[in-house]
Amino acid sequence: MGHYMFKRLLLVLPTLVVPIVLIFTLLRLAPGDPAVVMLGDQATAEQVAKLRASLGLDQPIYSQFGDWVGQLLHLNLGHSIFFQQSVLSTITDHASVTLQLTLLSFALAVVVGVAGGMLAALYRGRIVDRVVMILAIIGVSLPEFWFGLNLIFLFAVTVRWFPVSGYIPLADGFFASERSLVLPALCLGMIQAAFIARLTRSTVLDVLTEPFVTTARSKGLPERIVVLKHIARAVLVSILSTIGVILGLLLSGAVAVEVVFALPGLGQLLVDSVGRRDYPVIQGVVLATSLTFVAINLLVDFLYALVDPRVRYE
Amino acid sequence: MRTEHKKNHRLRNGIIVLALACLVLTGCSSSPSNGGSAASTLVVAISADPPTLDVQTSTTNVTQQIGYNIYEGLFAPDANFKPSPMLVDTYHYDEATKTYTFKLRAGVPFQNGHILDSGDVVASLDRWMKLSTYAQLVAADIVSIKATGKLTVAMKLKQDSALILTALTFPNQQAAIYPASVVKAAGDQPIKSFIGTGPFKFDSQQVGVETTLSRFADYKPRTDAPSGMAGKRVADVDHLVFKSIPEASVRLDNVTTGAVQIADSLDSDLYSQITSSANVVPTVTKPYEWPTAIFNKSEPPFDDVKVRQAFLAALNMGQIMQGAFSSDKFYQLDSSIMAPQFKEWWSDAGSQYYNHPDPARAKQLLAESGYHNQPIVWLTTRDYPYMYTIAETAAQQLKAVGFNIKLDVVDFATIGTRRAVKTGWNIFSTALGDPDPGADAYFSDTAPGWWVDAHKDALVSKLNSTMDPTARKKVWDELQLYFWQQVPLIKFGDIFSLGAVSKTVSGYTPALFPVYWNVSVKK
Repeated sequence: MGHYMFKRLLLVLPTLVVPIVLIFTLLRLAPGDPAVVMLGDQATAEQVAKLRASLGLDQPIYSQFGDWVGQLLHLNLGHSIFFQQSVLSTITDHASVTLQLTLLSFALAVVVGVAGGMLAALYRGRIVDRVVMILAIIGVSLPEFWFGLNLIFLFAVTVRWFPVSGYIPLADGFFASERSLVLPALCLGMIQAAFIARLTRSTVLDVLTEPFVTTARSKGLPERIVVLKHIARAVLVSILSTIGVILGLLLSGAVAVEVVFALPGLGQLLVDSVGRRDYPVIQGVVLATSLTFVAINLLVDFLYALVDPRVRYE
Repeated sequence: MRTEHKKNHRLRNGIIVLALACLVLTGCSSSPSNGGSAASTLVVAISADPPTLDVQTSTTNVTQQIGYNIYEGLFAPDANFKPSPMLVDTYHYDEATKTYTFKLRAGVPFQNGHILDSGDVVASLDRWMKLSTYAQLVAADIVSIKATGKLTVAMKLKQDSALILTALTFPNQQAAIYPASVVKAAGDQPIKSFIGTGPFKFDSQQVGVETTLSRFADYKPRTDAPSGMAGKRVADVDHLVFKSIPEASVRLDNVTTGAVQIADSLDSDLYSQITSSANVVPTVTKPYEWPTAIFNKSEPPFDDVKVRQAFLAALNMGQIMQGAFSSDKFYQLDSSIMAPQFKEWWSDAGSQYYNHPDPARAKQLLAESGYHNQPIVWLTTRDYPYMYTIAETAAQQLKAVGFNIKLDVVDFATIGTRRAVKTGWNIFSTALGDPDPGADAYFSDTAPGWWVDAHKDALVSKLNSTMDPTARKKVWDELQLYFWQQVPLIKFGDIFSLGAVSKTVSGYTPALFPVYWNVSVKK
């Protein structure tokens, strides 16, 4: 197990180099210039040139890249051009919202998705199955943006149970903070739940025909044990990687939901920073996202090794 | 199957209860109603987060929108956009010595307790001249700014300049007066202490969420009647909160529920939703700006005036603006570069050239020119949807007379970079609006579009060095006529901006630079 983990950890480095090089090069190749954006329409060419020089943008790309990697090696993500503060604090300012939103919506997605999918499979062809699958198809087809606006109309404007938009930090009270995230979490969570429900259903249906299920039942085990101990464990292995990907997606920020609900999360930060050509922030967020995905993939692999002994002996 | 069904019964119930519990936990854990706000708090929805509250350096609108509640300049624009004294008590221009003398109001406190003096003004204006792009309009005309007494500042000019007061007044990259100590501490970097002489002081900021100001109790207001941003300012509310809400319809929803009292920059198709709401009133800001297409006159085909004239002759502005805004509540067709709301500048010179679509004449002008159907690259953007719609409708009309238009749809930041280079594009979309025509960047030879023309230069120079307003207007009439004959760019029309205000608010006037003093909220 230790050897397996060490091997996986070594493979992380090349996985990180690719996004680092790609994002840096793509940004510098794309048109648009932070100095022009910052100075606005009235700026003269001399002012733009002066600002470019002070931001180091007049240097050749390889030397800019060298400087950035040098900073990274010192665990320094650089300085935001737009916010005039360190990229790390810009990211942490925005990451807390995303993290909280992720936890809420992920819990919702997994519980509702797995429960719905199992119900549908166990009652295949019956009314429960039909209802769950229709809801799931609607869920995967819903555009987040549209769904979010409708949730606002229903629960914030019509019945006024929740605030229309905005984020209340945890420091202002746990329940107030969670309440401000209920609608966005519903919006994100229900859409992801639909994916998980469909996947769980088909996986359970596959597992139900496996010999070990027949064996378990023929031993006279109660159905509860068969489902929760035997079927659920097998299903978990199959859907673990998908759940990992969903967690990664949620953690890297949900752009549409954050814009609709005016949440200052990582998704909105990234999109705004692209509009402003705030290179250091874009690079920082992409790097943080890559790290998140790598970490989650590692975690999923380790969990696989735990759940399925065959993996660690390969 | 039946037995299996029974066995599953308890399991199914368990799963359903679990799923419902989850929904209940996340969905219904709140007390009802989010409506209503604290009695003396005015909440304004803004579309983006301010990057800084240093108004001298940032061109971002939201920075200004928040900033001019905190800081004041020597002058402020009145309702007709004319410079009106703010921190200045009296001023005088001596033509013989080419010197402005500004006498400051006495006993005006900053929010840190320091009392305004000439040292603050000199330090602030020196920094503004160095860092503000708007200041560059006049920087070359200014020889020196010196304190000549505790409350007197002298500004010596190289030559007469009608733009000095405009530049000191203009609310974007405002010539805000900071305490000299704040300027000294900041240098060329953004200021860290947000201290001014305005009716509200900075309280707190939560990145990406909101910026909170509160009433400055020791504020010393002017005594003259309020007009636009000028005159007496009174903070009628205890707290002024700016909430960042990027999505327009969500800004409106917040006004509907009472979480926010004022929202602007709404899409025009939300108008009917506002009028059907019982507690919200629509506001229309007139004028807002004017959308334009700027030609690259440094290379063919638009270096040829006949091609530009053909372009103008092909356009039906009514159709174009209707396509972009659907209702004429949100635009007006007008040949005057300065909208009718700028009463002192409005001019009908050259109106015979604007919005007289004549495809036959356009074809004839094209035939006489050197244009041979080469592709014309029009840089436009969906970041501002009306810019794209205008370009698309205009392109149809232009294709009909023989222009070979290729729309290149990019983000606005890309337009900013590509237009700076003289090749690779022929037209770009943008929107303009300045309170003084002499301040318009497109008259410069060096601004993208490169209108190099000696007669135009002579007129602009005369416009900006004539101090008498009546004489200036005559020069402007002449320059506007020349504009429509030479067509360096296209004015499609004037556009307005839709906003929404809660019925609990009184005293608010929609404006290009809206103000939140003299505005109160009913309990």
